[in-house]
Amino acid sequence: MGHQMSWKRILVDGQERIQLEGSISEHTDFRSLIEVASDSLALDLAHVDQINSCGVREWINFVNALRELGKNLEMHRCSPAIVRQLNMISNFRGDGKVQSVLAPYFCDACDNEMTQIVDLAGIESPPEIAETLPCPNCGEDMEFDDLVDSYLGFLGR
Amino acid sequence: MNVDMDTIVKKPEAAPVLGASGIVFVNGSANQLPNLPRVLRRVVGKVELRGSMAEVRDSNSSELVAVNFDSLTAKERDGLIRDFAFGPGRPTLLLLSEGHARDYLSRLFANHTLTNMLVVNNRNVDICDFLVTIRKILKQDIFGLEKYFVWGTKTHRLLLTSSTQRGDVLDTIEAYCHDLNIPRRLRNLVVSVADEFVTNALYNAPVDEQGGPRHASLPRTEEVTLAEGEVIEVKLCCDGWRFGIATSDPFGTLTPELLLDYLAKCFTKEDYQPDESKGGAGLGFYHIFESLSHFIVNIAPGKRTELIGLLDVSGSYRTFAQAGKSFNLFTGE
Ligand SMILES: [Zn+2]
Repeated sequence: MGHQMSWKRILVDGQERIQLEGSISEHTDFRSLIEVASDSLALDLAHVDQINSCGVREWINFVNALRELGKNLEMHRCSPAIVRQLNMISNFRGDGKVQSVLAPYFCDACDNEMTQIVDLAGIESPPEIAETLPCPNCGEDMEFDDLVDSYLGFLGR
Repeated sequence: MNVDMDTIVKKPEAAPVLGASGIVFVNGSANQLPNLPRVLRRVVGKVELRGSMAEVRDSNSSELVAVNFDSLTAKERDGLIRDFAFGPGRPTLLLLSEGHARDYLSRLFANHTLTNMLVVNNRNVDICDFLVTIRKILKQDIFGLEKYFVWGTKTHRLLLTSSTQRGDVLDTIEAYCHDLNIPRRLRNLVVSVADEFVTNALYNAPVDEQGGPRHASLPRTEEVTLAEGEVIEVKLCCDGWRFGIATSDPFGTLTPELLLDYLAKCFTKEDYQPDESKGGAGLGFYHIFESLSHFIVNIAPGKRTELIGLLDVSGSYRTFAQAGKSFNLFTGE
Protein backbone atom coordinates (compact mmCIF):
# COMPACT_ATOMS: atom_id res chain seq x y z
CA MET A 1 0.00 0.00 0.00
CA GLY A 2 1.40 3.39 -0.92
CA HIS A 3 2.41 5.40 2.13
CA GLN A 4 -0.01 7.88 3.58
CA MET A 5 -0.10 11.34 2.12
CA SER A 6 2.29 14.02 3.33
CA TRP A 7 2.95 17.52 2.00
CA LYS A 8 5.68 20.13 1.85
CA ARG A 9 6.17 23.63 0.42
CA ILE A 10 8.23 23.99 -2.76
CA LEU A 11 9.16 27.03 -4.84
CA VAL A 12 8.74 26.80 -8.64
CA ASP A 13 9.59 29.86 -10.78
CA GLY A 14 8.91 32.11 -7.81
CA GLN A 15 5.51 30.55 -7.06
CA GLU A 16 4.97 28.71 -3.81
CA ARG A 17 3.35 25.34 -4.33
CA ILE A 18 2.33 22.60 -1.97
CA GLN A 19 3.69 19.26 -3.08
CA LEU A 20 1.62 16.24 -2.07
CA GLU A 21 3.21 12.83 -1.83
CA GLY A 22 1.85 9.31 -1.27
CA SER A 23 -1.67 7.87 -1.32
CA ILE A 24 -4.92 9.73 -0.86
CA SER A 25 -7.19 7.55 1.24
CA GLU A 26 -9.58 7.58 4.19
CA HIS A 27 -6.56 8.53 6.34
CA THR A 28 -5.89 11.74 4.41
CA ASP A 29 -6.81 14.87 6.34
CA PHE A 30 -6.95 17.95 4.11
CA ARG A 31 -7.81 20.38 6.90
CA SER A 32 -4.22 21.59 7.31
CA LEU A 33 -4.04 22.31 3.57
CA ILE A 34 -7.21 24.37 3.67
CA GLU A 35 -5.69 26.36 6.52
CA VAL A 36 -2.43 27.17 4.67
CA ALA A 37 -4.29 28.34 1.56
CA SER A 38 -4.64 32.14 1.54
CA ASP A 39 -6.83 33.21 -1.36
CA SER A 40 -5.45 30.47 -3.58
CA LEU A 41 -3.69 27.12 -3.41
CA ALA A 42 -1.25 25.74 -5.99
CA LEU A 43 -0.78 21.99 -5.63
CA ASP A 44 1.96 19.88 -7.18
CA LEU A 45 0.45 16.42 -7.64
CA ALA A 46 3.31 14.60 -9.39
CA HIS A 47 3.96 12.29 -6.45
CA VAL A 48 0.41 11.18 -5.66
CA ASP A 49 0.61 7.52 -6.63
CA GLN A 50 -2.77 6.15 -5.54
CA ILE A 51 -6.28 7.28 -4.63
CA ASN A 52 -8.83 4.82 -3.33
CA SER A 53 -12.60 5.38 -3.31
CA CYS A 54 -12.53 6.76 0.24
CA GLY A 55 -9.72 9.06 -0.87
CA VAL A 56 -11.90 10.35 -3.72
CA ARG A 57 -14.52 11.21 -1.14
CA GLU A 58 -12.01 13.13 1.00
CA TRP A 59 -10.68 14.93 -2.09
CA ILE A 60 -14.16 15.98 -3.30
CA ASN A 61 -14.97 17.31 0.17
CA PHE A 62 -11.66 19.21 0.06
CA VAL A 63 -12.27 20.88 -3.34
CA ASN A 64 -15.85 21.65 -2.31
CA ALA A 65 -14.57 23.29 0.90
CA LEU A 66 -12.11 25.42 -1.10
CA ARG A 67 -14.94 26.53 -3.37
CA GLU A 68 -17.16 27.46 -0.42
CA LEU A 69 -14.32 29.51 1.11
CA GLY A 70 -13.77 31.27 -2.21
CA LYS A 71 -10.21 29.96 -2.54
CA ASN A 72 -8.83 29.21 -6.00
CA LEU A 73 -7.16 25.88 -6.72
CA GLU A 74 -4.43 25.26 -9.27
CA MET A 75 -3.40 21.67 -10.04
CA HIS A 76 0.13 21.28 -11.39
CA ARG A 77 1.92 18.17 -12.74
CA CYS A 78 -1.06 15.87 -12.11
CA SER A 79 0.22 12.29 -11.83
CA PRO A 80 -1.35 9.53 -13.98
CA ALA A 81 -3.27 8.45 -10.84
CA ILE A 82 -4.82 11.94 -10.59
CA VAL A 83 -5.55 12.08 -14.35
CA ARG A 84 -7.34 8.74 -14.04
CA GLN A 85 -9.65 10.22 -11.40
CA LEU A 86 -10.16 13.40 -13.46
CA ASN A 87 -11.44 11.18 -16.26
CA MET A 88 -13.51 8.87 -14.03
CA ILE A 89 -15.18 11.38 -11.71
CA SER A 90 -16.75 14.34 -13.51
CA ASN A 91 -16.49 16.77 -10.57
CA PHE A 92 -13.09 15.61 -9.31
CA ARG A 93 -11.36 18.94 -9.96
CA GLY A 94 -14.24 21.03 -8.58
CA ASP A 95 -13.45 24.63 -9.58
CA GLY A 96 -9.73 23.78 -9.77
CA LYS A 97 -7.70 24.62 -12.87
CA VAL A 98 -5.52 21.85 -14.24
CA GLN A 99 -2.31 23.62 -15.28
CA SER A 100 -0.28 20.57 -16.34
CA VAL A 101 -0.32 16.78 -16.25
CA LEU A 102 2.31 14.06 -16.45
CA ALA A 103 2.08 11.70 -19.42
CA PRO A 104 3.33 8.16 -18.62
CA TYR A 105 5.72 6.22 -20.91
CA PHE A 106 6.77 2.58 -20.80
CA CYS A 107 9.69 0.87 -22.53
CA ASP A 108 8.86 -2.64 -23.67
CA ALA A 109 12.52 -3.41 -24.26
CA CYS A 110 13.88 -2.66 -20.77
CA ASP A 111 10.73 -2.10 -18.62
CA ASN A 112 11.76 1.51 -17.96
CA GLU A 113 8.93 3.80 -16.85
CA MET A 114 8.96 7.59 -16.91
CA THR A 115 6.70 10.61 -17.26
CA GLN A 116 6.77 13.72 -19.43
CA ILE A 117 5.08 17.00 -18.50
CA VAL A 118 2.21 18.23 -20.70
CA ASP A 119 1.47 21.92 -20.22
CA LEU A 120 -2.22 22.86 -20.26
CA ALA A 121 -2.10 26.44 -18.96
CA GLY A 122 -3.87 28.85 -21.28
CA ILE A 123 -4.33 26.35 -24.11
CA GLU A 124 -7.26 26.60 -26.54
CA SER A 125 -7.54 22.94 -27.44
CA PRO A 126 -6.00 19.74 -26.01
CA PRO A 127 -2.33 19.43 -27.01
CA GLU A 128 -1.00 16.42 -28.93
CA ILE A 129 0.61 13.77 -26.77
CA ALA A 130 3.73 12.16 -28.28
CA GLU A 131 3.02 8.47 -28.96
CA THR A 132 6.68 7.54 -28.50
CA LEU A 133 9.82 8.95 -26.90
CA PRO A 134 13.38 7.59 -27.02
CA CYS A 135 14.14 5.57 -23.90
CA PRO A 136 16.95 7.27 -21.94
CA ASN A 137 17.87 3.85 -20.60
CA CYS A 138 18.23 1.69 -23.74
CA GLY A 139 17.57 3.98 -26.71
CA GLU A 140 14.52 2.02 -27.96
CA ASP A 141 11.15 3.74 -28.39
CA MET A 142 9.09 4.15 -25.23
CA GLU A 143 5.33 4.03 -25.83
CA PHE A 144 2.83 6.40 -24.28
CA ASP A 145 1.39 4.13 -21.57
CA ASP A 146 -2.28 5.07 -21.73
CA LEU A 147 -4.91 5.86 -24.35
CA VAL A 148 -3.87 8.84 -26.48
CA ASP A 149 -7.45 9.63 -27.46
CA SER A 150 -8.85 9.78 -23.96
CA TYR A 151 -6.01 10.66 -21.56
CA LEU A 152 -6.93 14.34 -21.72
CA GLY A 153 -10.64 13.55 -22.10
CA PHE A 154 -11.47 15.50 -18.91
CA LEU A 155 -10.58 18.75 -20.74
CA GLY A 156 -13.63 18.37 -22.95
CA ARG A 157 -16.03 18.46 -20.03
CA MET B 1 -8.88 -52.85 -12.30
CA ASN B 2 -12.43 -53.52 -13.44
CA VAL B 3 -12.87 -52.55 -17.07
CA ASP B 4 -16.32 -51.57 -18.27
CA MET B 5 -16.39 -52.54 -21.96
CA ASP B 6 -19.33 -50.21 -22.60
CA THR B 7 -17.26 -47.26 -21.45
CA ILE B 8 -14.39 -48.17 -23.72
CA VAL B 9 -16.43 -48.10 -26.87
CA LYS B 10 -19.22 -45.69 -25.97
CA LYS B 11 -19.39 -42.54 -28.09
CA PRO B 12 -19.03 -39.43 -25.88
CA GLU B 13 -22.02 -37.12 -25.52
CA ALA B 14 -21.76 -34.37 -28.16
CA ALA B 15 -23.75 -31.82 -26.18
CA PRO B 16 -21.70 -31.80 -23.04
CA VAL B 17 -22.72 -28.61 -21.25
CA LEU B 18 -26.14 -27.22 -22.04
CA GLY B 19 -27.75 -30.39 -23.34
CA ALA B 20 -31.04 -30.17 -25.19
CA SER B 21 -31.89 -26.57 -24.24
CA GLY B 22 -28.81 -25.28 -26.02
CA ILE B 23 -27.80 -21.68 -26.48
CA VAL B 24 -29.29 -18.97 -28.65
CA PHE B 25 -26.55 -16.94 -30.27
CA VAL B 26 -27.33 -13.56 -31.81
CA ASN B 27 -24.46 -12.78 -34.12
CA GLY B 28 -26.02 -10.03 -36.23
CA SER B 29 -26.14 -9.93 -39.97
CA ALA B 30 -22.46 -9.06 -40.34
CA ASN B 31 -21.46 -12.36 -38.74
CA GLN B 32 -18.56 -10.68 -37.01
CA LEU B 33 -17.56 -13.71 -34.98
CA PRO B 34 -17.48 -16.26 -37.81
CA ASN B 35 -15.77 -19.11 -35.97
CA LEU B 36 -17.64 -18.88 -32.72
CA PRO B 37 -20.84 -20.79 -33.66
CA ARG B 38 -18.78 -23.80 -34.75
CA VAL B 39 -16.68 -23.70 -31.60
CA LEU B 40 -19.77 -23.29 -29.43
CA ARG B 41 -21.48 -26.28 -31.04
CA ARG B 42 -18.52 -28.44 -30.08
CA VAL B 43 -18.39 -27.33 -26.47
CA VAL B 44 -21.96 -26.46 -25.47
CA GLY B 45 -24.05 -28.60 -27.81
CA LYS B 46 -27.05 -27.11 -29.57
CA VAL B 47 -26.57 -23.56 -30.91
CA GLU B 48 -29.51 -21.70 -32.46
CA LEU B 49 -28.18 -18.85 -34.58
CA ARG B 50 -30.18 -15.63 -34.82
CA GLY B 51 -29.47 -12.66 -37.06
CA SER B 52 -31.24 -10.04 -34.97
CA MET B 53 -32.69 -9.42 -31.54
CA ALA B 54 -36.22 -9.54 -32.98
CA GLU B 55 -35.79 -13.26 -33.62
CA VAL B 56 -34.88 -13.93 -29.99
CA ARG B 57 -38.40 -13.45 -28.65
CA ASP B 58 -39.43 -16.78 -30.13
CA SER B 59 -36.68 -18.64 -28.29
CA ASN B 60 -38.25 -19.22 -24.92
CA SER B 61 -36.89 -22.73 -24.66
CA SER B 62 -33.29 -21.69 -24.15
CA GLU B 63 -31.78 -20.90 -20.78
CA LEU B 64 -29.07 -18.77 -22.26
CA VAL B 65 -28.98 -16.09 -24.93
CA ALA B 66 -25.51 -14.96 -26.00
CA VAL B 67 -25.47 -11.70 -27.96
CA ASN B 68 -22.64 -10.28 -30.02
CA PHE B 69 -23.39 -6.75 -28.89
CA ASP B 70 -21.05 -5.09 -31.36
CA SER B 71 -22.96 -6.64 -34.29
CA LEU B 72 -26.24 -4.97 -33.30
CA THR B 73 -27.49 -1.73 -34.80
CA ALA B 74 -28.02 1.24 -32.46
CA LYS B 75 -31.76 0.57 -32.67
CA GLU B 76 -31.28 -3.08 -31.75
CA ARG B 77 -29.07 -2.12 -28.82
CA ASP B 78 -31.77 0.20 -27.51
CA GLY B 79 -34.31 -2.56 -28.06
CA LEU B 80 -32.20 -5.04 -26.16
CA ILE B 81 -32.01 -2.74 -23.17
CA ARG B 82 -35.73 -1.90 -23.33
CA ASP B 83 -37.19 -5.32 -24.08
CA PHE B 84 -34.88 -8.01 -22.80
CA ALA B 85 -36.20 -7.96 -19.27
CA PHE B 86 -38.89 -10.46 -20.22
CA GLY B 87 -39.77 -10.89 -16.59
CA PRO B 88 -39.43 -14.02 -14.47
CA GLY B 89 -38.13 -17.02 -16.34
CA ARG B 90 -36.39 -15.01 -19.00
CA PRO B 91 -33.19 -16.59 -20.29
CA THR B 92 -29.88 -15.39 -18.90
CA LEU B 93 -28.22 -12.83 -21.14
CA LEU B 94 -24.54 -13.12 -21.98
CA LEU B 95 -23.15 -10.10 -23.81
CA LEU B 96 -20.08 -10.50 -25.99
CA SER B 97 -18.39 -7.22 -26.84
CA GLU B 98 -15.05 -5.81 -27.84
CA GLY B 99 -15.81 -2.67 -25.86
CA HIS B 100 -18.70 -1.04 -27.66
CA ALA B 101 -21.09 -1.87 -24.82
CA ARG B 102 -19.40 0.74 -22.65
CA ASP B 103 -21.71 3.61 -23.57
CA TYR B 104 -24.70 1.42 -22.69
CA LEU B 105 -23.46 0.14 -19.33
CA SER B 106 -25.40 2.59 -17.22
CA ARG B 107 -28.73 1.54 -18.76
CA LEU B 108 -27.83 -2.17 -18.89
CA PHE B 109 -26.94 -2.16 -15.20
CA ALA B 110 -29.92 0.02 -14.25
CA ASN B 111 -32.56 -2.41 -15.50
CA HIS B 112 -30.60 -5.36 -14.06
CA THR B 113 -30.25 -6.93 -17.52
CA LEU B 114 -26.50 -7.17 -17.50
CA THR B 115 -25.07 -9.85 -15.26
CA ASN B 116 -22.72 -11.47 -17.76
CA MET B 117 -20.43 -9.77 -20.25
CA LEU B 118 -17.35 -11.30 -21.84
CA VAL B 119 -14.76 -9.43 -23.84
CA VAL B 120 -14.13 -10.25 -27.50
CA ASN B 121 -10.52 -10.09 -28.63
CA ASN B 122 -9.35 -10.60 -32.20
CA ARG B 123 -12.86 -11.70 -33.20
CA ASN B 124 -12.97 -14.47 -30.64
CA VAL B 125 -13.81 -15.06 -27.01
CA ASP B 126 -11.59 -16.89 -24.55
CA ILE B 127 -13.19 -20.31 -24.64
CA CYS B 128 -12.05 -21.19 -21.11
CA ASP B 129 -13.74 -18.10 -19.66
CA PHE B 130 -16.79 -18.84 -21.82
CA LEU B 131 -17.14 -22.39 -20.51
CA VAL B 132 -16.58 -21.35 -16.90
CA THR B 133 -19.25 -18.66 -17.35
CA ILE B 134 -21.79 -21.10 -18.80
CA ARG B 135 -21.18 -23.68 -16.07
CA LYS B 136 -21.62 -21.00 -13.45
CA ILE B 137 -24.77 -19.62 -15.10
CA LEU B 138 -26.14 -23.15 -14.68
CA LYS B 139 -25.27 -22.70 -10.99
CA GLN B 140 -22.68 -25.42 -10.99
CA ASP B 141 -20.20 -24.62 -8.25
CA ILE B 142 -19.84 -20.85 -8.64
CA PHE B 143 -17.00 -20.20 -6.19
CA GLY B 144 -13.24 -20.25 -6.70
CA LEU B 145 -10.51 -18.13 -8.24
CA GLU B 146 -8.79 -21.28 -9.50
CA LYS B 147 -11.45 -21.82 -12.19
CA TYR B 148 -9.97 -18.95 -14.18
CA PHE B 149 -6.44 -20.38 -14.26
CA VAL B 150 -4.97 -23.47 -15.81
CA TRP B 151 -4.10 -26.40 -13.63
CA GLY B 152 -0.65 -25.96 -12.12
CA THR B 153 -0.95 -22.25 -11.40
CA LYS B 154 -0.07 -21.73 -7.77
CA THR B 155 -2.61 -20.00 -5.53
CA HIS B 156 -1.47 -18.07 -2.45
CA ARG B 157 -3.74 -17.55 0.51
CA LEU B 158 -3.84 -14.81 3.15
CA LEU B 159 -6.31 -14.55 6.03
CA LEU B 160 -7.46 -11.55 8.02
CA THR B 161 -9.88 -10.90 10.84
CA SER B 162 -9.32 -7.23 11.63
CA SER B 163 -8.82 -3.89 9.87
CA THR B 164 -5.46 -3.60 11.65
CA GLN B 165 -4.14 -6.32 9.31
CA ARG B 166 -5.25 -4.51 6.15
CA GLY B 167 -2.03 -2.55 5.69
CA ASP B 168 0.11 -5.67 6.03
CA VAL B 169 -2.05 -7.59 3.56
CA LEU B 170 -1.82 -4.78 0.97
CA ASP B 171 1.95 -4.45 1.50
CA THR B 172 2.31 -8.21 1.01
CA ILE B 173 0.31 -8.10 -2.23
CA GLU B 174 2.35 -5.16 -3.53
CA ALA B 175 5.62 -6.93 -2.69
CA TYR B 176 4.40 -10.09 -4.45
CA CYS B 177 3.50 -8.07 -7.59
CA HIS B 178 6.89 -6.40 -7.40
CA ASP B 179 8.61 -9.80 -7.27
CA LEU B 180 6.61 -10.81 -10.36
CA ASN B 181 7.99 -7.72 -12.15
CA ILE B 182 4.52 -6.35 -12.87
CA PRO B 183 4.85 -2.75 -14.16
CA ARG B 184 4.20 -0.09 -11.55
CA ARG B 185 0.91 1.24 -12.95
CA LEU B 186 -0.57 -2.27 -13.15
CA ARG B 187 0.76 -3.04 -9.68
CA ASN B 188 -1.04 0.04 -8.37
CA LEU B 189 -4.27 -1.28 -9.91
CA VAL B 190 -3.88 -4.67 -8.20
CA VAL B 191 -3.25 -3.03 -4.82
CA SER B 192 -6.14 -0.59 -5.21
CA VAL B 193 -8.50 -3.45 -6.09
CA ALA B 194 -7.23 -5.42 -3.08
CA ASP B 195 -7.83 -2.35 -0.92
CA GLU B 196 -11.45 -2.01 -2.12
CA PHE B 197 -12.10 -5.78 -1.83
CA VAL B 198 -10.78 -6.00 1.74
CA THR B 199 -12.50 -2.78 2.83
CA ASN B 200 -15.77 -4.11 1.46
CA ALA B 201 -15.35 -7.42 3.29
CA LEU B 202 -14.47 -5.75 6.60
CA TYR B 203 -16.92 -2.83 6.61
CA ASN B 204 -19.83 -3.50 4.26
CA ALA B 205 -20.26 -7.27 4.47
CA PRO B 206 -20.52 -8.06 8.21
CA VAL B 207 -24.03 -8.25 9.64
CA ASP B 208 -25.33 -8.88 13.12
CA GLU B 209 -27.64 -11.74 14.15
CA GLN B 210 -30.69 -9.80 12.98
CA GLY B 211 -29.08 -9.24 9.58
CA GLY B 212 -28.42 -5.54 10.24
CA PRO B 213 -25.15 -3.97 9.09
CA ARG B 214 -22.46 -4.18 11.75
CA HIS B 215 -19.78 -1.78 10.47
CA ALA B 216 -21.21 -0.13 7.34
CA SER B 217 -21.84 3.27 8.92
CA LEU B 218 -18.43 3.50 10.60
CA PRO B 219 -15.68 5.69 9.15
CA ARG B 220 -13.11 3.54 7.36
CA THR B 221 -10.49 4.90 9.72
CA GLU B 222 -12.20 3.21 12.66
CA GLU B 223 -10.75 -0.14 13.68
CA VAL B 224 -13.05 -3.13 13.24
CA THR B 225 -12.57 -6.76 14.21
CA LEU B 226 -14.64 -9.73 13.10
CA ALA B 227 -16.29 -12.09 15.59
CA GLU B 228 -14.67 -15.34 16.58
CA GLY B 229 -14.74 -17.87 13.77
CA GLU B 230 -15.27 -15.23 11.07
CA VAL B 231 -12.39 -14.94 8.63
CA ILE B 232 -11.80 -13.08 5.37
CA GLU B 233 -9.79 -15.08 2.89
CA VAL B 234 -7.65 -13.39 0.24
CA LYS B 235 -6.32 -15.44 -2.67
CA LEU B 236 -3.70 -14.45 -5.22
CA CYS B 237 -2.83 -16.20 -8.45
CA CYS B 238 -0.74 -15.33 -11.53
CA ASP B 239 -0.08 -17.40 -14.65
CA GLY B 240 2.20 -14.79 -16.15
CA TRP B 241 -0.51 -13.40 -18.42
CA ARG B 242 -3.07 -12.39 -15.92
CA PHE B 243 -3.13 -11.69 -12.23
CA GLY B 244 -6.02 -12.87 -10.09
CA ILE B 245 -7.12 -11.69 -6.70
CA ALA B 246 -10.13 -12.87 -4.70
CA THR B 247 -11.62 -12.09 -1.33
CA SER B 248 -14.21 -14.25 0.31
CA ASP B 249 -16.33 -13.22 3.30
CA PRO B 250 -18.63 -15.49 5.35
CA PHE B 251 -21.67 -13.18 5.18
CA GLY B 252 -23.19 -13.16 1.68
CA THR B 253 -24.92 -9.83 2.28
CA LEU B 254 -24.23 -8.13 -1.04
CA THR B 255 -27.30 -8.38 -3.27
CA PRO B 256 -27.18 -8.42 -7.10
CA GLU B 257 -29.68 -5.55 -7.24
CA LEU B 258 -27.60 -3.35 -4.96
CA LEU B 259 -24.39 -4.01 -6.91
CA LEU B 260 -26.03 -3.35 -10.29
CA ASP B 261 -27.65 -0.16 -8.98
CA TYR B 262 -24.30 1.04 -7.62
CA LEU B 263 -22.63 0.45 -10.98
CA ALA B 264 -25.50 2.00 -12.94
CA LYS B 265 -25.25 5.16 -10.87
CA CYS B 266 -21.50 5.50 -11.37
CA PHE B 267 -21.69 4.96 -15.13
CA THR B 268 -24.24 7.75 -15.55
CA LYS B 269 -21.22 10.08 -15.09
CA GLU B 270 -23.22 12.44 -12.94
CA ASP B 271 -21.25 14.50 -10.44
CA TYR B 272 -20.27 12.43 -7.45
CA GLN B 273 -21.83 13.65 -4.22
CA PRO B 274 -20.17 12.23 -1.10
CA ASP B 275 -22.77 10.86 1.27
CA GLU B 276 -21.56 11.09 4.85
CA SER B 277 -24.10 8.55 6.09
CA LYS B 278 -22.81 5.76 3.88
CA GLY B 279 -19.45 4.12 3.48
CA GLY B 280 -19.21 4.84 -0.22
CA ALA B 281 -19.44 1.22 -1.38
CA GLY B 282 -20.88 2.31 -4.72
CA LEU B 283 -17.83 4.30 -5.69
CA GLY B 284 -15.68 1.41 -4.48
CA PHE B 285 -17.34 -1.01 -6.92
CA TYR B 286 -16.94 1.52 -9.75
CA HIS B 287 -13.23 1.75 -8.93
CA ILE B 288 -12.96 -2.02 -8.90
CA PHE B 289 -14.76 -2.39 -12.25
CA GLU B 290 -12.57 0.22 -13.90
CA SER B 291 -9.34 -1.24 -12.51
CA LEU B 292 -9.82 -4.77 -13.81
CA SER B 293 -9.98 -6.72 -17.06
CA HIS B 294 -12.59 -9.04 -15.56
CA PHE B 295 -14.66 -8.54 -12.41
CA ILE B 296 -16.58 -11.53 -11.06
CA VAL B 297 -18.99 -11.52 -8.12
CA ASN B 298 -20.19 -14.79 -6.58
CA ILE B 299 -22.92 -14.65 -3.96
CA ALA B 300 -24.44 -17.37 -1.80
CA PRO B 301 -27.07 -15.24 -0.02
CA GLY B 302 -26.55 -15.17 3.74
CA LYS B 303 -23.53 -17.45 3.50
CA ARG B 304 -20.70 -16.14 1.42
CA THR B 305 -19.63 -13.42 -1.02
CA GLU B 306 -16.58 -13.85 -3.20
CA LEU B 307 -15.18 -10.96 -5.25
CA ILE B 308 -12.74 -12.00 -7.97
CA GLY B 309 -10.59 -9.63 -10.00
CA LEU B 310 -8.55 -10.60 -13.05
CA LEU B 311 -6.09 -8.15 -14.57
CA ASP B 312 -4.23 -8.53 -17.86
CA VAL B 313 -0.57 -8.11 -16.92
CA SER B 314 0.80 -9.51 -20.18
CA GLY B 315 1.93 -6.07 -21.38
CA SER B 316 1.87 -2.49 -20.20
CA TYR B 317 -0.94 -0.42 -18.65
CA ARG B 318 -1.88 0.61 -22.18
CA THR B 319 -2.41 -3.04 -23.19
CA PHE B 320 -4.81 -3.38 -20.27
CA ALA B 321 -6.57 -0.07 -20.98
CA GLN B 322 -7.07 -0.79 -24.69
CA ALA B 323 -8.94 -4.04 -24.09
CA GLY B 324 -12.63 -4.33 -23.25
CA LYS B 325 -13.95 -5.54 -19.95
CA SER B 326 -15.64 -8.69 -18.73
CA PHE B 327 -18.12 -8.85 -15.87
CA ASN B 328 -20.03 -11.68 -14.22
CA LEU B 329 -22.46 -11.80 -11.35
CA PHE B 330 -23.56 -15.21 -10.09
CA THR B 331 -25.80 -16.26 -7.27
CA GLY B 332 -25.91 -19.83 -6.04
CA GLU B 333 -25.33 -22.01 -3.06
ZN1 LIG C 1 14.32 1.10 -22.58
